[in-house]
Amino acid sequence: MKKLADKEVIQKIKNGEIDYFSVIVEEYTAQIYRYIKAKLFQKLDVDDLVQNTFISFYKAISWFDETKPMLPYLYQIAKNELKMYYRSHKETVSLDEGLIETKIGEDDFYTEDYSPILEKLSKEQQEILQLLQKGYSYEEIAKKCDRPINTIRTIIRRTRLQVKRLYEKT
Amino acid sequence: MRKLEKKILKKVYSFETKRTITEIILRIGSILVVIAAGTVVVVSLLRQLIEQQTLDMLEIFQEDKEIIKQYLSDVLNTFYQELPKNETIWVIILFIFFILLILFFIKNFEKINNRIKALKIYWFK
Repeated sequence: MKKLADKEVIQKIKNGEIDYFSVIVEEYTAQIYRYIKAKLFQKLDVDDLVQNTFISFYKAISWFDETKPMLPYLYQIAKNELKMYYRSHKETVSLDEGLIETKIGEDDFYTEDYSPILEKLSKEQQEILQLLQKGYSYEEIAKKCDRPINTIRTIIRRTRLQVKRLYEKT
Repeated sequence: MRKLEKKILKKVYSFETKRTITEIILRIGSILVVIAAGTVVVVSLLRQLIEQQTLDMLEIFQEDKEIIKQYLSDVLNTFYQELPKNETIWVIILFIFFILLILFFIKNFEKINNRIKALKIYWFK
C-alpha cells in the first residue's frame, strides 16, 4: 500500500475500502498510546482505551470532515474516553456502609461527636441528609426539595465524600 | 505496539462485518417486502378490474386508428373513473418506494462491494 495523505485515506475508507484504516492505526497508535499512558498507569486499561478511541473514530468516520487534520480529532476522542473511564471509576461511598448509617443512629443524628462535621455542610445538604436518614427515597426527597432527582443524587454523593473527608481530618 | 494494532483492527473488522451483514439484510429485506406488498396490491387491483370488466375496455386498441382516435378520451375517462382509487394509490406509492430503494442500492453498491472485498481479504487471507 503506497503512502497516502490522511485526506485520501479517509476518502477511501468512506468509499468502503476499509483496509486503509490500517494506515491510520499504524500511523497514530503510538501517539494516542503515549497520550493515554501519560494520564493512566495501568497498562491493561491503556490498551482498552486506545482500542476504544480508534473504534469510536471508525464509527464516526462517515461524518468526519477529511479537510480537517485527523490527530486533534483522535486526541479529542481519547480525551472523552478518559473522561468516561474516570467517571466509571469514580470514588463513591455507600451510605449503607458509610459513616452516617453505621456510626450515627436515627435518633442521635446530631450527636456531640459528629455535629462539628455536619455543621460544616450547607443547610440544604443537612436537610437532605436528615431526610435520607429518615428513610425517604431519592425521588421523595427530590419532590420535597423541589429539585430534579439527578441534582439530589449529585448533592448526596458530594455530601458523602465531603463528610468522609471531614471525618478523616478529625 | 504491533499486537495492539492487530487488536484494534480485529475489533474494527468485527464491527464492520456485523454492520455490513445487517445493512445487506435490511436492504434486501426491504426490497423483498416492497415487492411482496406490491404483488398483493397489484393482484387485488387486477382482480377488481377483471370483476368490473374494466379491462375489456382496452380492447379498443385492437380496433382501427380512426375508432381509437374517436373513442380514446371517453374510454380513458371511464377507465379512470372505474379504477379502484385506494389500490391504485398504494401501487403508485410502492412503485416509487421500490424505485428509490433500487436507486439507493445502486448508489451504494460500490461502497458495499468494496467493504465485502476488504472483509473477505481480512477474514479469509
